[in-house]
Amino acid sequence: VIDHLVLPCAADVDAGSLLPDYRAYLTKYLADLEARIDAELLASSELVAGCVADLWLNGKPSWAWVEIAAELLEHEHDALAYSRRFSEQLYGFGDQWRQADAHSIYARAWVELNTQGEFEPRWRDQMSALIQPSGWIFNPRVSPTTLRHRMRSEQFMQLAMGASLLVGGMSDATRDAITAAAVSFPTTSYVSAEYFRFRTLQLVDRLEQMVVGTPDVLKQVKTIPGFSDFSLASKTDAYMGTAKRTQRDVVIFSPICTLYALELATALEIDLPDEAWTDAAQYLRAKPLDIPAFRMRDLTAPFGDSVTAHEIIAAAILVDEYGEAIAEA
Amino acid sequence: VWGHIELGSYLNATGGRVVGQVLTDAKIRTYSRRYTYEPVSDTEIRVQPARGGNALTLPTRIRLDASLVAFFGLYSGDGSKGTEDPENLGTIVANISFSQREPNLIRFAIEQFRRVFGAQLAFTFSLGEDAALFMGGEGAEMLRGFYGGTLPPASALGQVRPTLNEADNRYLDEVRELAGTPSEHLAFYYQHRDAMQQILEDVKRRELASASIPLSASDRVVASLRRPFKKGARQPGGSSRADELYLSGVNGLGELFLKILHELEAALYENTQRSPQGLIVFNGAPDALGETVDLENFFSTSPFGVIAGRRPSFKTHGGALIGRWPASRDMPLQSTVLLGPAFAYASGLYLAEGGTPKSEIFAMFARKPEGLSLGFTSSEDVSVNLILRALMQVVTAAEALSAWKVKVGSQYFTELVVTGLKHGVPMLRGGASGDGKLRTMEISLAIKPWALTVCPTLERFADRYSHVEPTGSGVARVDFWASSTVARWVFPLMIYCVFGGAVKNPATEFYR
Repeated sequence: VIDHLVLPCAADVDAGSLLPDYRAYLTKYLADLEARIDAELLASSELVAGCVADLWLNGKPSWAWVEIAAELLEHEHDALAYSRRFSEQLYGFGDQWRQADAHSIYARAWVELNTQGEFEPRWRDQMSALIQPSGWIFNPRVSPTTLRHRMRSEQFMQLAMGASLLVGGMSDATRDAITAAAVSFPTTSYVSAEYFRFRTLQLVDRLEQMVVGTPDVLKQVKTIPGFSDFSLASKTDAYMGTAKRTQRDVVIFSPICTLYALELATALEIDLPDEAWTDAAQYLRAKPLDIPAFRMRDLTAPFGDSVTAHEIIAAAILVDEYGEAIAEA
Repeated sequence: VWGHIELGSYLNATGGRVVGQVLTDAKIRTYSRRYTYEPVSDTEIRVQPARGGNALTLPTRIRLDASLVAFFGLYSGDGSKGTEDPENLGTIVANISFSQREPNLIRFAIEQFRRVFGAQLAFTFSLGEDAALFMGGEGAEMLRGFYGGTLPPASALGQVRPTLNEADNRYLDEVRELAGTPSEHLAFYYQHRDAMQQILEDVKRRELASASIPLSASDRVVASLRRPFKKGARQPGGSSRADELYLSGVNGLGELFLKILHELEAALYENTQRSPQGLIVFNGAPDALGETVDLENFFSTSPFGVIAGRRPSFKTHGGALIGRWPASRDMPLQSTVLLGPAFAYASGLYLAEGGTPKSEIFAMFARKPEGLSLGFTSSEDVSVNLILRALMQVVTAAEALSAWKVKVGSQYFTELVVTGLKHGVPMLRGGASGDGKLRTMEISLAIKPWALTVCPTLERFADRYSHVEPTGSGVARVDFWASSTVARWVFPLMIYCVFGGAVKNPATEFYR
């Protein structure tokens, strides 16, 4: 596996030592995905998770991932985020299934890279066309939201994905534009945003430009076990301008966010308490599928997903990558 | 009369201990209060909170008719459910107040409050507003008018507020993307506070007088002014008006009032003759009570079946009734509708919380309404259920709900972002300000099961789920809508159900 920006270190995992629960989950995920592909229900995010699962479980691409992508996730040469049928799961989504943004272009290129060893140059060209005058990389026809109202995590994720495809042969002007965008905000309160910011600067070889304050972010988003994406203290209501009551809100541990936090801490040599390096992996080794979902205040119904394929892959990476740390601890 | 509020027998059965639960804004909280009570006569009972509060003589049995049931629906939407006890989180102390600006509804609420509590009440009409209103536009004009045409020179904060309190200091620490500094905004507030309050009180008094809402000697009008941009106004001249109606003379009676509301709601939701604790007893199953209205006859003859002086035409197709308003489209209709307790409650609830401008609903009988849409937002299944049941009494299920979505306030955007991360995708917003249709389908699809669990009524409309909409503030809630054509068939019936007993000609008798 060649690393995907959303799933760092997937390449380093010893797939032969996957926990049985993770092996079973991913095996079932692939079986379900097969049925969904037959029904032409596919998102580019599922393409990525399916491809990682296939490479881990089978050691090589045993599915025709690029053909699947070309058939279901390509329209008029654009790399789509969703197949037409997938979008029919939402009422009145109309032709919005034809959305090609930095993340779907990146997903397509990544699948080609993993299964064919290289990606077609057209994805680089399409990504290049998404560079905005501000230096950020996104498709305003998909999401016309002004910079002020865009989610920081989204901005940095797509910026990193764009940088990843463009870095080969990137001009100094583009490198400067991307760097300037990446450092245009002070430290956010979100570990995902800071992780993708870091990856962007790493990709364009401008890591010395990294903003200050990342250690504080990691300190604030530490939960037990692992890390969350945000802290309760940082939750605000954008319109009232004041911190809203958060006494009923609960931050949750997320393997993906924990992975981002530990990657940041490793790369930036951030000093964390010993248990912060190992508690998530230890917890997951004991309870592999105990990945929580949010709750909306007092309502017990999960607000969004708990276990997903991406979370399972991240959990497997955590257990594998930080297993040695557990042994040392 | 559809039944009674059995106050006497309920208090006897519970020994005066009132206990209940409130679910609002995804918060589950309890309320509890003990009352002492003694019969005054065969038909009246004297009730008093055991630990202080007003003693009131109330009817042992209160008759439940369409207007009182609708009033509780209205209160369910616009009424206070109490405030959380800071010393005892999860517990609320109930108080009775009512947030509404529309004059016809204020007048209606006052009448119904008096039906429940008698003449022992006094009302305080409060107009809450953000001081930012007076920093631009019409508000600034009013302020200049107050000073005779020219504002006095701006004072420094230290001059108008030599000693700052804790709230002032918090305000100064808050950051807003606005012209001017928090210090200047706070100075404006203190320099003109008395003037702004007087202006607002005059505005409220004039409105009440023009709507023929008389003030008794014990009634009061007050203005509640907030620091600039604190209450929701986002720019100078912006308004964040909130009108409240407070009741005096019922101190400590809030828990009992809430209990009546919740018992009524439970009986209607479950369609049971008796509410869980017997406080409400209908004369039969609620869905079997009420006035059966022939739709064609209603819209052909009733003064309520008119919009802007015009009536619809009818035909039948395959035995089904089809109606059409002038310059509108065919609408399959139920031939009869039962205007019973559930419909009355839903009517009151919609008038409180529906997405339609109230002024248009009351004006539609006399003039062509503008923007007569039908939409409803709630985080509670009971509300969604009762509104949809009412709509489906008039039109088919396919017409009652065009589509639905989940609105999520900015406080919970962080949760949406993480939901996207769990699928390896960014949260892509729609629209320039980001409050359009969320473009990341994985997130919308992940939130759908939550909505169906919280509002199981929407299961039958699961295929009409549209998207998540990140917008404004507040907890996640479902929002559904129907066409404006449906609105034309439903609103006349709702208004008739609530006001038909007191209003004969809606084209002339409603305040507009």
